[in-house]
Amino acid sequence: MPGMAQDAQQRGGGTITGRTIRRKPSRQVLLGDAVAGKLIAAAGIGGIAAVALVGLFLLWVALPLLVPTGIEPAAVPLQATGAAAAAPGAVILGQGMDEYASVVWTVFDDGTIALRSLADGKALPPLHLGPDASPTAFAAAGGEGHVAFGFADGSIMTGVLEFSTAYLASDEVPADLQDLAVGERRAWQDGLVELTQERQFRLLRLELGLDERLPVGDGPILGLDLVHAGDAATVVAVDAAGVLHDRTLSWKVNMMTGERRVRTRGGDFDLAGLGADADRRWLRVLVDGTSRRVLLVAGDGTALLLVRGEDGAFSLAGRQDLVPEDGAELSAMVWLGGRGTLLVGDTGGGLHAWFTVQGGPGEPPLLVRAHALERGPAAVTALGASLRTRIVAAGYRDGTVRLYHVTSGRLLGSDRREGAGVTAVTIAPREDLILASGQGGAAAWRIDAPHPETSWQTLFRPVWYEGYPGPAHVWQSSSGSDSFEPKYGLVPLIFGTLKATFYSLLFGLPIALLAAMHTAEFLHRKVRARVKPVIETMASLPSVVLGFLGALVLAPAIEGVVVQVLAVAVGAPFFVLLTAHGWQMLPRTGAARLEPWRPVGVLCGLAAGAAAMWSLGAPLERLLFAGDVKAWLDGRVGSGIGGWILLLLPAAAFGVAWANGLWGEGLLRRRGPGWTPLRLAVLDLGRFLAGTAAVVALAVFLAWMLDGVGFDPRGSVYGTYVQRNALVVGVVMGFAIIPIIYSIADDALTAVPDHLRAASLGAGATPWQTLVRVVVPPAVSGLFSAVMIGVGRAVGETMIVLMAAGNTPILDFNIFNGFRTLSANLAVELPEAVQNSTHYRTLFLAALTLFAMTFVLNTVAEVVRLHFRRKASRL
Amino acid sequence: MVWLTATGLVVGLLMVAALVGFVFWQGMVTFWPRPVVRLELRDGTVVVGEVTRGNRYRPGPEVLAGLDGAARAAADGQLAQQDGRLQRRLVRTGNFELTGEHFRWVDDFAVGQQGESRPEWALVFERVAWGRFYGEPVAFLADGEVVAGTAAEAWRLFGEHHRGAADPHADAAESGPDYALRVATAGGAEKDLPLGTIVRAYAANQLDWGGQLGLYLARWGEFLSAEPREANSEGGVFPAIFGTVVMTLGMTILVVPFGVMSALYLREYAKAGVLTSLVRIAINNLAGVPSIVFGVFGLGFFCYIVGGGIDQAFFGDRLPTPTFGTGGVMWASLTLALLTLPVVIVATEEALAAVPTSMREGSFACGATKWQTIRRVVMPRALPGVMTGAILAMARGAGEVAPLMLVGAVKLAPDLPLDGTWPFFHPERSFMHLGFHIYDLGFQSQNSEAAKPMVFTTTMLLIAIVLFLNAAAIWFRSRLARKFSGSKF
Repeated sequence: MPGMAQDAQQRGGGTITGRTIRRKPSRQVLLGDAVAGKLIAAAGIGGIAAVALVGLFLLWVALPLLVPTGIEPAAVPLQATGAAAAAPGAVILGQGMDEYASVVWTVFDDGTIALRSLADGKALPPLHLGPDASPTAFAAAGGEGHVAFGFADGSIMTGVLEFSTAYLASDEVPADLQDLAVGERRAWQDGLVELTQERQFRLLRLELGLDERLPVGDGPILGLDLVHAGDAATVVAVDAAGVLHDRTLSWKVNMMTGERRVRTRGGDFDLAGLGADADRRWLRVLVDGTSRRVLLVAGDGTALLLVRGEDGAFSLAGRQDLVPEDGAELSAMVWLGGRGTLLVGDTGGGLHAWFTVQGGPGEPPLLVRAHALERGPAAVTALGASLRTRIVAAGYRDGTVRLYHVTSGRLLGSDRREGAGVTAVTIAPREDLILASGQGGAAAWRIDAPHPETSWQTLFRPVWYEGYPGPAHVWQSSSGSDSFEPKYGLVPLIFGTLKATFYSLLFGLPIALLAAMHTAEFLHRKVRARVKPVIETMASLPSVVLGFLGALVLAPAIEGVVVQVLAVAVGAPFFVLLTAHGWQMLPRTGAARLEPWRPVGVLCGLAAGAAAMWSLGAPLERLLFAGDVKAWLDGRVGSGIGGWILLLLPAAAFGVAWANGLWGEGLLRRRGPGWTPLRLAVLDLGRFLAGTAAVVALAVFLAWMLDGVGFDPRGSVYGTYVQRNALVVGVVMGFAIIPIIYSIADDALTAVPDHLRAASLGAGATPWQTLVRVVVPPAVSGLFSAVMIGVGRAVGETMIVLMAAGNTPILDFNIFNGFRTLSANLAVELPEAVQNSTHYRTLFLAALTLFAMTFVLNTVAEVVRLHFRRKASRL
Repeated sequence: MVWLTATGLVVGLLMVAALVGFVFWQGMVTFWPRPVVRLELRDGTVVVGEVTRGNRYRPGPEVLAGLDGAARAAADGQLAQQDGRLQRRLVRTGNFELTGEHFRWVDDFAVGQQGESRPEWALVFERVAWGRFYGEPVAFLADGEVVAGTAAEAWRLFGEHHRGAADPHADAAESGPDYALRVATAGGAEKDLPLGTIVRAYAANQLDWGGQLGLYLARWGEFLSAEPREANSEGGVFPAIFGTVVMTLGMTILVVPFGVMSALYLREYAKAGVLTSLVRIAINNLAGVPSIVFGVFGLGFFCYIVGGGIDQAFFGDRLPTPTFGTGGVMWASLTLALLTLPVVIVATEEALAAVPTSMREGSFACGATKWQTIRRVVMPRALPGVMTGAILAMARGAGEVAPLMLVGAVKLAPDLPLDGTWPFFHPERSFMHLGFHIYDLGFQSQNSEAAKPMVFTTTMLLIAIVLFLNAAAIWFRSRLARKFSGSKF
């Protein structure tokens, strides 16, 4: 035979039809096959990989939130502190830096302001406060460069210590600067010149503008503080004689002459008169951002909180030991940006953040110690806070420098410089550099902490934010105020997601499962083929439509008729069952013929029930909710009984049904066989009515008991009514998940083979018994997977909750209150989030959470479904 | 108990019917002109406008406190009858520039005896700006001169000279004299309305059935073909329809080849094993991943990283203003393509699985290569299934809003993504979308009451499109089932 084939190949056209038979496919075909195979493999794998990319990308963006931070020594050549400019032994009072972290100034107690370039460490020409001006105290208001000095003769002086930026015109650039490279900085005259990216010569100079010295008291000023708002500044100073000086200075600049006039208001307060201990020396004074609260601190850490009244006079509001630990003394203090939180360091190395919280109504504010930062190795000797965020740098006696984030309590970085202790530490305005100075010199560190405020704790645990009465889960990403701290707690959003899911399941799950059971078991195959696509159509309705209808049609409609709606929801099934019992009383022959009309019967029962319960709504509202359900929900009127009844009805119904199954069924089964169908039906109806009465009675009794014991459902499950609430979302989102659960549940039930049903029915079981005892048990894993997929959809649904849930990120079980879900939060906030900011990455983390939640749910559902499919095929 | 299950089904069906019926009813009646009523209140105020809807409310004490005499008696009568509630109506009064409001609640008790009438000459003006205007014509003006002094005459002249709203881009100098209609409002004020600012005007109470129908159809025509006016609350939704279509088509073009090839790979090329079943589980899984997550991915990856990269490479001179580095129709299509990829893969795989192995074997036995078998034998049979998948993907894509909010759908985009200027297709442009339009109208609009009718019509349009696509998919599926049932070897 091989010979023949060879023969045919050789002879070519020797067949009967005259066509050439080629035993090998042409090269073209083979090439096509290979190319298509490769292409399909590439595209296929590519497509699948693209989908996998989604999860990985979310992770990749969110991950930098949680990477470790640190500080590393910066290669800045620094000479000694610049003390060369000041008198020997002069003490540092304050230190600051410019926006670009290129020049640092240091105020000494001999009136010198030394300047150093951070580019080459060289000293620039220093500034002086003037002859015989040796300040005893110094304060800076932060931000705009307002400063105040206190002097030994009891006078104070305000001024502006500010960097000014100028650009040198190209023709006035001197020859010795021409060789400057882009980004290079060089000291020039009394400032620093940098060639910027745009090839401009930027000249940075420190300017000092001083007001006249203002005598306020007799003794030397020990401590002073300054807060600046608009065109006025408040200076508060304490002197050695124990007098508090309070001055508000407002500046008026004459537009014509440019002359600056200072107006001064204020008063002096004897501290003993305010209730302060006379034997303590009050060394430090601090004024908060509102300038209404003043804190006086003695050397041992005792602090007095003074509150300014409407008339401008101070009164003592509280007393607190800022360093309650034994053996530790107060050694350093600093306001965080915004002047709401005070950071206190002690000689034991402890660092604690204090702020005031509202006391009870009519009570003075309270000072609380909200955060304890990780203890340092030695006494805290210097503190420096960032002006923008809650980062703070601490210097210790042994030369250690540490960087903390106060709210999150994170230690961001730590390093030690050999030599003497740190006397001043400053964080650059852009939070890229720390500068620590001490007697032995100065050193700088680069900050590497892109997201210092985030940790697992701040994302998922309660955090004590400034001004809050205690640790709380808060999501608040933006606000109008400047000193605002963004709060990224994901728990309220996760809670909102779960709340939406719970209420939508509460509504959708029974309907979907019951409908699936009915379609799979009791409907004719032809009817089923028509009904199923109709319900599945629901799945394709755009959720934006459902959300819109929920928020703008359903929510306002429900608002006025809450009781009626709840009454119908609870009462309508009762009427359907009543109709069913009535149906049983029909003669046997008629009932069989009427079987296909059962849905009409259901519809009638439903309509009658809805109408009856609707009209009962108003009387029920009067009876249970004191005539006004919203006032009742606010807790203004009535008792908790009505709410308990509503909550307990389903539980009572289950209890009664169970008791009935325990005792009633057996009785009926023993006596029943001899009776006529009509008699049975009447008895059944009687039993049903008695059961209903028992349910109501049980619910009322339990409600009365619970109310008597003092439990009130308001404040937990119920609460103030908000128009867009969980009830509305439950209904609308229930609508969205019904078709999904329905479709998969129906498939699961129909997958149970028919011979099981036939056997059960043949053995004399009723259709209902067949469903419950024979069909459902093998299908239960399929039903479970249906529910899981429904939950997955509810968790991720966006538009419905975005439109109908009110979007308030709060932790509240109240069915009549709104919430904010992870998904709605993404839709609202992500367009505004700056790329790669903490906010942006946190939102990606939220998306990842959502992704993970649905991925787990769907995987579980899929695995269970496959398992069920294998099991069903073996039946 | 069987009855309870029946209740579940009936409630489910009722909900679908109620929802679709409600939306379609609201959408259909919206454009039907309503009569203009004139309400004379007991305190002497006259309100003229269209009644939008009515409801009952529970009055607070401040409502009843200021009442006296007949009004008090009427209110008390209603309260006694209606269980402590009062009836009121929301009247669209328009004339925003004079009254500062578009709508007004009118209590029924406040309307005097025989205080309700339908004035013959009440006109409704739909304008280019400021919302609707209600009033009676007093005179017709040409270049500021009164040409006609009676209502009928002025209205006749208006009909002659009105040519629709003036195109703001057209050269004003060419047109003839400046015509205007002087209109007296309910408050007694008079206002000259230039004809160029009037889109449409009609005497609502004079319209017969045919006139109403004509107006109704004209409004539908405007709705489907014109651009929106007045912060989207009036005018048409053509850009939104167009944007939806372009975006969905782009998505389909992207998703179908990749989806089909992925399914072919999984079903025909890859070896069946643990890996393929894992991949299959993953794909089923991804069909359930929330759409907003895809939106987040689209924004972060397509817009910021890919788009930002394109901007860096090609549009550096326009930075920092982004060209591709922000939402656009291409990114939206890509995002939705990713979102609908599992739909297409699953549908295609099912269709491929339905092709009997015997047919493949027959083809191989005849000497066909794998690719030839797929192209000539498998694909033709699987095509209806693939089409079903594609249509389902389109329906999903057309109805999806959440991811689009992040990757390029905007409230107003006058520049269409596809137009006559080179290069004709502008993938970087943001676009309008019907679903986003609904969200925007219902929730971001300042005059949300006036926007409500538009929301309903837009909703109806969107539902109609999605339902049509779904019906098409179901039809394809049943045809597939009929055609190939029992054709196994």
